[in-house]
Amino acid sequence: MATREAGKKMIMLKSPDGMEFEVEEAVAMESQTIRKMIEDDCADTAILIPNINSKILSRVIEYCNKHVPTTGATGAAASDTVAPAALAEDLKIWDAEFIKVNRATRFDLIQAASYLNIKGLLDLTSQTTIDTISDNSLEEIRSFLSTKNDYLPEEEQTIRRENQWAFQ
Amino acid sequence: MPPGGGEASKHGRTAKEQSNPPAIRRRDESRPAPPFPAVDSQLLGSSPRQRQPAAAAAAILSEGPLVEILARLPYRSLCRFKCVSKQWLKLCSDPKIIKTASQTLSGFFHNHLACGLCFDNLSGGRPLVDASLPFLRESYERIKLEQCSTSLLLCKCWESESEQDECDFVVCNPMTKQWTVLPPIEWLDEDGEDTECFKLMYPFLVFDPAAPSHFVVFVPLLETDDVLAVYSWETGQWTPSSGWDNCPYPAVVPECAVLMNGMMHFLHLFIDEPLIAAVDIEGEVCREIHLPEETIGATPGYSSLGCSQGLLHAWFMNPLDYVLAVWVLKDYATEEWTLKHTVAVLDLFEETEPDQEEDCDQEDGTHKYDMFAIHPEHNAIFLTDWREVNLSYDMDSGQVHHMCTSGDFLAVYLLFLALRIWGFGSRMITEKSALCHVFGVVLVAFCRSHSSSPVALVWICPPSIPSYALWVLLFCGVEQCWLTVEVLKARSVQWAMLSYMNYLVN
Repeated sequence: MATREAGKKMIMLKSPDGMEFEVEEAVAMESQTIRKMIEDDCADTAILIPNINSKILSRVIEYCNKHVPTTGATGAAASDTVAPAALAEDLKIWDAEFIKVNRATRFDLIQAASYLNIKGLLDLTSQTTIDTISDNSLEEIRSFLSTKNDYLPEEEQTIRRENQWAFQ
Repeated sequence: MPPGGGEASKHGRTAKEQSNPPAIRRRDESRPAPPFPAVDSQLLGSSPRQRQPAAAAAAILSEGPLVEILARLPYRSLCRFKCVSKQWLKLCSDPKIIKTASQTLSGFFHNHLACGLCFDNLSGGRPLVDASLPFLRESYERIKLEQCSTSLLLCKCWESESEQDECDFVVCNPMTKQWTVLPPIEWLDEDGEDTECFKLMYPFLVFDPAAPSHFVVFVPLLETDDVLAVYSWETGQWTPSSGWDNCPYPAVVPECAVLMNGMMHFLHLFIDEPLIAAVDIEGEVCREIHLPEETIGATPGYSSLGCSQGLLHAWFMNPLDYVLAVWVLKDYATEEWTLKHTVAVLDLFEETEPDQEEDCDQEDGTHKYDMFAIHPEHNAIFLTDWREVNLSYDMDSGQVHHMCTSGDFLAVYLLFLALRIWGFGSRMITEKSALCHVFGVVLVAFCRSHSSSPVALVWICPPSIPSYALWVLLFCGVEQCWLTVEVLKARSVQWAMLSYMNYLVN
């Protein structure tokens, strides 16, 4: 967790299960939702983040910490001597590592990223899922996402016929 | 909910929003179905029931994340995934998802002399749509494609083969097979007593994928002074727009137009200081965007506009050496243009057709090469030599790919249309002499002289005239139509046009 430094404004984020996270304003503002609150002066004390438990929230903050565009936030990434391309490559590797979570966590992250409006995280989490499912058969998708086929056989046939072009 | 938390819904899709059934427009049962991306009518009745069976799955996968995932899939996958379950069927048919899902260039429509309208699938494989438009064939004998705008087509349709004077203009969606006929242009005059009627000619279709609930059609009226008729799908009516009162630039130049930020952008090169005019869908001119200084003197017919990655792009080709320059408007507000790429088009084509014969086609005034589209997401552009070869060129890697190698692809005369299926702005490309040959008349530009009467500039080239001749026809209202015939040699055409326009403006 970030420590208070001179000149850096800190924001307190609260999860519904009572955990509090103190983060730099710049990090919190990776979320467009929080940015809006800060800009509208609705964030003088702690901000309660509904629907996102502390486990997911801490991962989201971890992501924002890494992706915040200022130097010195996490130490490892940003320094003047590192070329931007190398930095991007580094982030990519970090992202790939970050997203190695189980399916339920990934969906929670998608939901959190959607609510907090963090585009990078939303793209990362959604795209990872798409890469998994886009080429799969319907059966595989159903089993992967635990979705039950609730069509009657004739209903499924009708839908399939109408969208035949998409299967070719 | 924290203070201000509701703001999230403005940008993202909140969980709360998603749990509601999708808002499906169905205001007026009697109106024909809207020809925009599918809202399957069969779905409308099924939504209240369908959540129950999905409840078990929802425990693991609530709609929120699913919506985010589906919204990133190409339209084709969405259609496939409709078969997964009823919940997926509902979500995959949600207009909100379809709208965001569609940002993939699917292919191009083009006219082929021998087989009529064709559709070329960019990814190869079978065409996504039946380009013969069979759903219109029940009502119409003869169909001619006038324009593609995003996923919609504007067609001119005749009920019989012989009666060519009576025709309808039809807007249709070849994917969903929905269509609607444009009604006659009429409205009450200023006193509200009499109905004024106008001839429906040269309609121009505008469809905004960001607001798929309606399309509009612009029609410049030849009968009146600089009035534009605007048809809106939403109201189903024509309304006059006089937003062109003091504007010396053309109303409608389909081959140089692109929809962006909810406004049509028309490239106008026929004036002293070329510019891009932005016109909203009510037909009012909202903005003029100046072109980069380096492009002053750019040749009409070799330049056009497009939208890629959300940014306005303009490209200019030098007709002498075919060097293409692609500019991007990085900052819309400050009109900051950046030169994105330059490439010698001749080299690109030579790479792929080493056996190509001499530079023919030059004498008949047709362009030998043209950049006809830009990819909506990638740094890729599409070029044609108007004969057999069409290329895509990746501006980042410099890679060139053949899009179509079949020798029958292009005849000399061809109406070339770029279609982006499902949700992108699109542009129409017309090969002018071809168009003239086939249809007799092309409306090229609408403008005003300083003498206050509107001037329509029309290039006309009937089949009986050799194709290197160009007739310039000037209308000044209908009553006093005066005709000037200029037969111009091919190479001087563009410059002659320019000087002609300058003469008119001054």
